[in-house]
Amino acid sequence: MNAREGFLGKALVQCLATVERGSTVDEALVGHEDVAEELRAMLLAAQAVRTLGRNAPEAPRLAAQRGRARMHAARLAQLERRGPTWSWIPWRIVGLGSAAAALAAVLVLAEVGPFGSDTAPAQAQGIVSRTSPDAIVINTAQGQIEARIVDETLVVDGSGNVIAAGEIVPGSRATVELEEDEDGLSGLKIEIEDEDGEAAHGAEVEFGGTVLSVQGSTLTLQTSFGSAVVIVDSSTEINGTLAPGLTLRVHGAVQPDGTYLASEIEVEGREGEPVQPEDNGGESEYESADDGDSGSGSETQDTGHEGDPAKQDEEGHD
Amino acid sequence: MEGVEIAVQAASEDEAGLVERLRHFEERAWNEIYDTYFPRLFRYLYLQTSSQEVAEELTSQVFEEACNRIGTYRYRGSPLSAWLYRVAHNRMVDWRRKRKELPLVDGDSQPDMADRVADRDEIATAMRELTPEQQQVLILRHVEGHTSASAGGIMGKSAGAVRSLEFRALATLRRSVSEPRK
Repeated sequence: MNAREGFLGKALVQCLATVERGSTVDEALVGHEDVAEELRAMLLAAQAVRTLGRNAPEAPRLAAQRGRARMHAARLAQLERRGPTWSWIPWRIVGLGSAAAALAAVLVLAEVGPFGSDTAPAQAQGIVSRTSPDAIVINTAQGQIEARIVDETLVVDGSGNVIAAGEIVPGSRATVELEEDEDGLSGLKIEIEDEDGEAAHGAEVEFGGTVLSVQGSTLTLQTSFGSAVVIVDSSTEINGTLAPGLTLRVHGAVQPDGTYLASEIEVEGREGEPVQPEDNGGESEYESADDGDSGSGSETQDTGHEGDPAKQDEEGHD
Repeated sequence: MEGVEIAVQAASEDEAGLVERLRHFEERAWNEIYDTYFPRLFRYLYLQTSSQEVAEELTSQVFEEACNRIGTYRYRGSPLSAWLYRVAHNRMVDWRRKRKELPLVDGDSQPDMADRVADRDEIATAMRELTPEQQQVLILRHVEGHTSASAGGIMGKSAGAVRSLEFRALATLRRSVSEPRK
């Protein structure tokens, strides 16, 4: 924001507050004559947004009834599941498993207090190894920690923008605020630092995606966090054959340039269909090392349809 | 005005008591928040999804999730409404993500009836030119009546960041909006 925008922004805040207290736009603009024209347009825009709310349909009565029924069903289910009133159990290592033990080590090193209803949440830092909509796994200096992602979990990127858990790039550096409940660890807030391939170099990660293209020893995958470039070499274990349109699970390590060197690739199928390595419709594929001719990627060819798996599907299943 | 109403509610000393009653699954408490927030959350979600059907489903999910999660919710002084809007926000983010994935499966890109109806409205059309975050901040501030701080609590941003987003959004909108009818 430049100086003029900053000035205009402050004036806008004052005018909006005046309007919110019940004044008209003209009344709010008194004292801001030098920028009145711009402010007026923005205040009118804000008023126009309010009309959206007034014109929005009310929740249909039937919808409200259905929603209430679902809420009460969920309430009753919770009542049924509820055991004895849960009370806080002091932090303990015995019986909590390796992840919790690793977290305990982090707490000691980071001089963070133990969990408890009256204490601040614990914090852990590390490299994101894998994520799912429901959980995040990070590698810390003391070990691996898995935390549940729940509705209250706030995930923000390096710019402070809220993002979905699926958008977290494996290999990113993350700071996670954690709390423990009866189901284990859950994340209160996950802050992702700006991507830094150097910092994450060598970090072990795991993610899934759909193959967009196969070029030599390089795969391009469409994933929930965007496109990912995966490098295959002679040591990569490949379960199945690789071709555009297939969904894969990749285990590998982050390279300095942000690509991933795969140690293992599991072919999961094609949009929910079982894997059919023999029925490739003549498409070029990267042959599995298990097929007896591992090589270092020389078997691959350009499919000619990179980025167009749909076209591959049409041609491969005629 | 709703903004004042929400601010008053945020300051209410009864809020902590309401949360306790919810945690004990008192039917009256659940009915209370349902009656108060179902219409608001429905409107909030409708304005961002442009579909009554989707808004209905997502709003119902918000209350189901609230039931499931209230046991782990801790009242720390911020209003319960901020939590409910946060749950709604996360539901909407999930919905947007899944909607992006849908064309890869069935290639269906036909807009629903609500989209076409909304397109007739100048401001609704102009809103679509904004980023999702800019849309959200305008809806939270000027439709739902949240303060900058309250909207920031829901969006995971500072009040200053919310004001900055709001400024950018209104600056963009002002070019699209004509003088209102008197």
